[in-house]
Amino acid sequence: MTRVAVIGGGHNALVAAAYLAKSGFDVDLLDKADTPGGLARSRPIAEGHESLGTLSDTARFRGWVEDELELSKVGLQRVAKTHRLTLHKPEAPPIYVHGNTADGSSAESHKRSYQAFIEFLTRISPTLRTVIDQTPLDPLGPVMPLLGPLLKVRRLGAKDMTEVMRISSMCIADWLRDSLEDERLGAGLCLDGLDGTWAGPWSPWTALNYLLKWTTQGTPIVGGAPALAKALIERAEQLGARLHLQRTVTKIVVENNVVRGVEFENGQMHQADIVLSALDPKMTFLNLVSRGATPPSLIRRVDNIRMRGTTAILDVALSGRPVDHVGTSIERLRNAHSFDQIEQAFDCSKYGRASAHPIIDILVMDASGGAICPDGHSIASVTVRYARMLSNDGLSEQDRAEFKSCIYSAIESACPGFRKMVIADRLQTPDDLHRDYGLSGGHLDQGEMAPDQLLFMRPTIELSKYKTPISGLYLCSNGSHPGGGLTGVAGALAAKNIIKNP
Amino acid sequence: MYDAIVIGGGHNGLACAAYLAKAGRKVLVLERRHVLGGAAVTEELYPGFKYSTCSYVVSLLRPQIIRELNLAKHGLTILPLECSFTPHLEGPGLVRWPESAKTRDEIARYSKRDADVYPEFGRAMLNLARWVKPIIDMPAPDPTSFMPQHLSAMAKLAQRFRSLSPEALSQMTKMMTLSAVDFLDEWFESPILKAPMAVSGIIGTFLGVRSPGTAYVLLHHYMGEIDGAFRAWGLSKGGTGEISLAIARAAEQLGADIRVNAPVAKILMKNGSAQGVVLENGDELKAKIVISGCDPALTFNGFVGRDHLDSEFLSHLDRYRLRGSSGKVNLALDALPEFTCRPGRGLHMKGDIAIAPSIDYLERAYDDAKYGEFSKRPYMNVVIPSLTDPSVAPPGKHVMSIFVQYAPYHLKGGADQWPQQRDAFGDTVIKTLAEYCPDLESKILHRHVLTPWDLEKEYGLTEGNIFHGELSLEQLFFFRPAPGWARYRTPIDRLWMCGSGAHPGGGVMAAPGRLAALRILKEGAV
Ligand SMILES: Cc1cc2nc3c(=O)[nH]c(=O)nc-3n(C[C@H](O)[C@H](O)[C@H](O)COP(=O)(O)OP(=O)(O)OC[C@H]3O[C@@H](n4cnc5c(N)ncnc54)[C@H](O)[C@@H]3O)c2cc1C
Repeated sequence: MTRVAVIGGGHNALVAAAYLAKSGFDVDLLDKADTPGGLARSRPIAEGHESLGTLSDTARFRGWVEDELELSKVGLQRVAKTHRLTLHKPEAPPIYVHGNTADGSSAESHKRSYQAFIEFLTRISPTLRTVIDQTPLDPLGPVMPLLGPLLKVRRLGAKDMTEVMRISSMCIADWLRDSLEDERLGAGLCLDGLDGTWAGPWSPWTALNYLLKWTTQGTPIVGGAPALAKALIERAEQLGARLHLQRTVTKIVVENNVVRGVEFENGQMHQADIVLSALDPKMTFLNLVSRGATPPSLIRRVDNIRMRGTTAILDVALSGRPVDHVGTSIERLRNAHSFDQIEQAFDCSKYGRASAHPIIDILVMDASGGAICPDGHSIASVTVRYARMLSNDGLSEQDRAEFKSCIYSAIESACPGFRKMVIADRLQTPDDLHRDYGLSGGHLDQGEMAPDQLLFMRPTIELSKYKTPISGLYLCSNGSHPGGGLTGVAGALAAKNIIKNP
Repeated sequence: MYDAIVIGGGHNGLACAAYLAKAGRKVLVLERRHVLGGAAVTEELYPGFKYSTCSYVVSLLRPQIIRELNLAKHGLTILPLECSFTPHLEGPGLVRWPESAKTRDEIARYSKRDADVYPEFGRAMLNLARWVKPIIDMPAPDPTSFMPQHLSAMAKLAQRFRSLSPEALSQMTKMMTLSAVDFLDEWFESPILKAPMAVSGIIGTFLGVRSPGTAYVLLHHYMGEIDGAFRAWGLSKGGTGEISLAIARAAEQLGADIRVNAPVAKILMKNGSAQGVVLENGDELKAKIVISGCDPALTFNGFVGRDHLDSEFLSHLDRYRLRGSSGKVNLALDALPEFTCRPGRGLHMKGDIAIAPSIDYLERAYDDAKYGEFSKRPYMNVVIPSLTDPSVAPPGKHVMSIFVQYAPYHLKGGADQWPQQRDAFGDTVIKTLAEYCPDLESKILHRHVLTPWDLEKEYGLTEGNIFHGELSLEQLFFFRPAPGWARYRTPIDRLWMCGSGAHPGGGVMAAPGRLAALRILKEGAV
């Protein structure tokens, strides 16, 4: 049996392990943490209160991965409808976005423009999804495989096709200003386009990222990311994969350009025919594979991958359920209300500072939604933009405290009474993410979402098909196509490539 | 009756007229101002001093045009402008010379590694430029069309694309999408070198050096051609206006009629088709076709009128981004000033002088503009043409051209704040520059300040956009000026476009004018 060592224990590693085990490979998964699940796993915040995962958005975990791995067998369920998103603006009634409707913004014309916007996205989604959910095609490779998708794209029709091409390179702010009459709505929605980027809404190409995200989203998973992690662990083990914890891989052993296995901290060697790295490409090539084993041009390109994390995560255990400033309970809330407000927060990143007026995106869940906390309590996961980037001198206690207090005042102004409910919290800045999860640059998506780091260029042109120039070494982190979020795609596609040509 | 009337005597309108005349068509050019050239113009605004009021350097003027219209015979001479000086408040600054050994020493002062990489970077860029260049010399195909001519053009493009090596494709993708700073970061370490290199990415855009998409314009530096040889920048002898005038002379000799002081008020429409034009004085002039050398906003909102356009085209028009971001200050100088960081009035002042001391400086200048103010400490590109071409100033005296960014057309208080802000803007520019050459102020004989508001009012550039519309990807190639209308035709029957708002866009290259004429002839429109 072919022995596979999977490095890392995040959702992609688990997905890949499950696929491989299912196809008869002998799979060992090696995680340095003491519980598997990576960025999806929950961590205790206070006695009886567990976080919602560092990455908490489960709506983009693909249905086809779920089906192919038969995750329903281990109890995975989707919620019936997407979370209601509250868009906050001081001294104005909130806008509530629920699926395809946006309420609260007064004008009828606003609603109409939102409808048209959603209709356009819905029309183009199936086509974009087929391109996104397959191993990136090599534009320099054989012509035949390229024709199918090309024809598909053309079948969108002249108007939609032109529109997709035109929009892609735009600033999300320009595009949403053109499309939605209500800037507040645009500002609230545009955060999705900024995920994983090093950009503000006035940066070109952010519209593309929004398209990629929107077109691949479904409904969230009951219990959120921790439930997903749990299901994947259970399923991978059921299918025969072995999970090893507290195993820090320090080296990928390569001989004559063929992978031999991995080495642990204690010098012990674990032999394998195939090594699948779910660590980001920089960690993999710059830290684990010995320098001599990779061509210098590849090292240079990997070194150039941009991974500047500017997102922080605040996990909070609450003694109640937070409400917005008109008293409606919150499922998800954002305080972004103008493009300039977000852009100004981003400006700080450019000069190596943390924003004093951070943009927050809060997800709240209680026990009825599957969160682990006592009845009546709730857990919040706050995604915060823009935090200070990772730096050599680290984040001082004072800077950290200051940043935290800025985050809390932003939350408090959107959710009055929030602070009083706090039982305990944990702030994870890019520095922490780097330390705790081994993320280069503290970047949550293991590589910025930028057009030169997508598709056949992710993570680099020679590594884009999950294969590497080293025989037997494969990649499956979000640093590979299609990039960030809990999607399971990189894990699934990497495994499929291994299964196809072992 | 004329075969064609060209609205606007900018260099593109003139080039279009010249090519039509060359093919034996009867053409009339109507220019609103008293001088020809549009934004490529020379004006003697102070006795004895010839300002290249707007455009001040050339690089992309298509060599075929010089050849085909015989412009050298009509008085065109391009003088190379080869060094590039970045003064600093501390230290000796940086000069990039035409001689690579000298440049090497200059860069090595700040980073030995960068000095080694610099020539390699140049070669890589030249290779990419060779690949991109043919695109500016071809009309843009329509990617959605199934017509054989478009399909074959797309197939050719695809083939070209696929002929790249993986390394080149990777570079190309980065070049087209990265910010200038991110792109340069992959090559260089010294911010002192990177800052002046990055600025070419922002000229005329409403973007900063850290905005994705600005790396592409870096290529322009390596696409420039003077006399068929790759060179960065040049000056036209006698001022930029000489380019337009040489084209005008060629056109006239080929039989075109050209009128100045002839502002067009409207395009004469009948049954949705252009019949000719109405001048502001009420005169009606008819022609088989009308060609507009003005920007799309002025052409359609102004000359055609929105009533004649369908809602889809109007929505494209409304989304077409013009928002100008630059201004210009022209000075007549009694004598040359001296830069503190490089004493003496040597060769280093003969090229272009970039006030771009650091990346953060440039980014801060952009931040001001993003929120509706002109930069408190702007990026400036300074050229003293009289050092290369003494004919533009009296003996011993000098002309200084200062291109300034950012000056956003849309100020926080509205664009109409500009007339009150003009002097403050001019003062900011002079004050900032004087930090580098303190004796500047004492040498100024005359100062001429152009804000984006002035560019609109005086030169007919809507929202002061120097390129007739931003040169961002969604407004280039088959999207310029609107999807489906990138081949010089417009939704109005018998109305064509030939200015910088058409493919391949702005700058003194005369490509849109030439390509439009060739297209018109090929389609047998006249
Ligand atoms: C300040 C500034 C600096 C620049 N610097 C450079 C540079 O260094 N290098 C470079 O390559 N490019 C530069 N450019 C850009 C370049 O000058 C322009 O892109 C180019 O000159 C535009 O040429 P055009 O023929 O397309 O249009 P224009 O030159 O704009 O011509 C349009 C013509 O139409 C005329 N017109 C307007 N309204 C009417 C009417 N109602 N009736 C009749 N005629 C009318 C105008 O007067 C004008 O002559 C600069 C531009 C500006 C403004």
